[in-house]
Amino acid sequence: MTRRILLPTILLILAYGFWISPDFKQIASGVAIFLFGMLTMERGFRAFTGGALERLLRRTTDRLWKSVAVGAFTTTIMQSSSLVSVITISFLSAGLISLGAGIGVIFGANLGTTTGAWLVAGFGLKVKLSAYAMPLLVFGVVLIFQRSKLVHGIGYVLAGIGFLFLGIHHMKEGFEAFKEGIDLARYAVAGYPGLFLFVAIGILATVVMQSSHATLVLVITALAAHQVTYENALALAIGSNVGTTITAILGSLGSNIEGKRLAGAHLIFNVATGFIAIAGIAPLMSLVDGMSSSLGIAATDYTLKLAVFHTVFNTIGIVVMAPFVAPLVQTLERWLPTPAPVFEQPRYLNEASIDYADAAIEAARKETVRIYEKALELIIHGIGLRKRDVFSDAPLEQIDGAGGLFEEGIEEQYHQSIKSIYGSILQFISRAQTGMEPENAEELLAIRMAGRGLVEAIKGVKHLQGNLKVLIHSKNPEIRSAYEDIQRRIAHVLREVDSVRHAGEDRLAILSLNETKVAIKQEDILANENLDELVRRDLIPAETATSLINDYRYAYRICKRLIELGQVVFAVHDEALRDAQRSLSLDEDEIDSMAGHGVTR
Amino acid sequence: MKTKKLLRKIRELLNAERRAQIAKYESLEEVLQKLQTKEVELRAKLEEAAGKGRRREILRKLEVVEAQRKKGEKLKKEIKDLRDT
Repeated sequence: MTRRILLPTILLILAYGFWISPDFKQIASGVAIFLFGMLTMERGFRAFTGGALERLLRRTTDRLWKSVAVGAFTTTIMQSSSLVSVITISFLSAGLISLGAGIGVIFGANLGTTTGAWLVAGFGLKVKLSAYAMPLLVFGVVLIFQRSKLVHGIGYVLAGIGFLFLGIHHMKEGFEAFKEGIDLARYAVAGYPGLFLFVAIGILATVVMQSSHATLVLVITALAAHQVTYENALALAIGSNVGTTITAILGSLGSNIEGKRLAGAHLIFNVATGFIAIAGIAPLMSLVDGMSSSLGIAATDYTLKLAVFHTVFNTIGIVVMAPFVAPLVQTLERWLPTPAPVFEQPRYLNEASIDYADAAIEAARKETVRIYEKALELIIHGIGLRKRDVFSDAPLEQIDGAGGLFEEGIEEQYHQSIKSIYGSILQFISRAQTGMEPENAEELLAIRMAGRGLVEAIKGVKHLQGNLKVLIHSKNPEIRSAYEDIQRRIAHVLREVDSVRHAGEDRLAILSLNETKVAIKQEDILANENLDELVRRDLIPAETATSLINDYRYAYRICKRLIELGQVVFAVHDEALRDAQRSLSLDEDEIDSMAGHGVTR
Repeated sequence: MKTKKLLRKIRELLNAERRAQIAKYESLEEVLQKLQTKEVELRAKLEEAAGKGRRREILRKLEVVEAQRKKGEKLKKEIKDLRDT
């Protein structure tokens, strides 16, 4: 209810504000442009995820100081602590980094975000940023239209910076004009009531804008225009630091328990730092004054002093909290315990069908199709593709293999949603086979083998993913193309099996899978021949060739097992027809000889 | 002749295994008929196909269909011989 009323209320207040004050309109549009710039920049940086950013984070978070440094560095580069914290949550959820390391990155991100205040206070207010914004926007948009993923990403980053600059410019202009009409500083509240009030305003502003960076820029521009007092600006900065945790908390809602723990750590750290800053505001201000004068900052340059304050209180927070990382981890693990894994239960296997051959076969088949459906997502996302692309009508060559996000935690998901059902199928088949007619027992055996093949395919994807997710972004076009080819081959098989699945009682559908089998065998032979040629011509390093040989083998097995499953579980229901179709199906020797023949032709 | 055919029909009706064989024979005929149509279509497509990749794909499909038909005809003959004995 509140949520339903909140948005129209905000919109109405904004509309009223725009009507009565053009200056307010300019400030608000500055904030909007600034936030849009942040979103654009985030989008740009996402283009680089899946490669460099992941590798950097993974390798450099084994020690606390390293994690803090990485958090500070990446946030400085990206100018978004929210993006860094959300990425860290996703890393933690995927089990790529530990909770302790994640906390270190978050500490560092808090420090890194203070560089934004330095940039705006030291540079942004003294230079006409709009002059830089326009060329950046033009270059950015031109690059956005390029096809290369890297260039496209750079385009978004440039356009994002352009919008940030433009937003800051409008905020600055707005506050300058605002100053002529109304003096907001008259509403300043002194002492601790003012401190608490402005901390609360800072929290609220950051929660609404989802960006501490935006709040800080707003505060700095307002401070430069003397619309807020220095003391109140400090309180706003403290508030923005607490409010920024909302993004991580929202980001953790979709993550697993580790992600939630990290968001909890983020909240605890920022609230504790906030309390330290509030409690020690007077000595902190003296410290800032002393440091500012030693850095050559004028006593009246409050914007730069705000940047100093922001950095100092975040650094103090890190120093105070660093010894408590291990107890913090323990506390969070106690507060947010790992929930007992919820295993999927079989849906079709029941006692009623176990004694009747036809019913038992149908139950086992349906349950196997169910795990196939679950495995399908795991396999498609496991190889970095999207379901909607794989099952679209678009040619496979057009699928952007490097654009998808790789499913993490295949093993964990296999255990949760497939393994228990598969175990139940095995148990059900063993019991149902007893005393069954040989041909029915044979059918059940085929279903059991199909299930086993599916499990093998999932394991294959897990092995394949290791190299695939890294080498699909390789700078070497031959390597990249080889891995894109692997993705396409698996996608091709998935499409074929899916078309058989939806073919109903089509007399020839299942037989077409023979041709798919020959095709994947031929593709495997050709890929290996091509690989030999690449090694001979020194176009790929020998160690990558070894990886590729293994990965080709995984890919071939995944494809083969999926086809075999399709041949069994998507066979027609009419027994005589099914029998006839199977009699016409080609055996392994026939497939091999046909594939070899096709390659040499 | 008519009596002989009638006797065979009665024998088939009473024998479950034989009934299954007949059903399989009829299904085989149906599938082979469809395979033959598919083969004709593929040959027509091959005539029009441009590009090495596309031609190779059609040739592969043709080869598989031919092999499946060959297997089917052989099996059909075996069932027929068995039925006639």
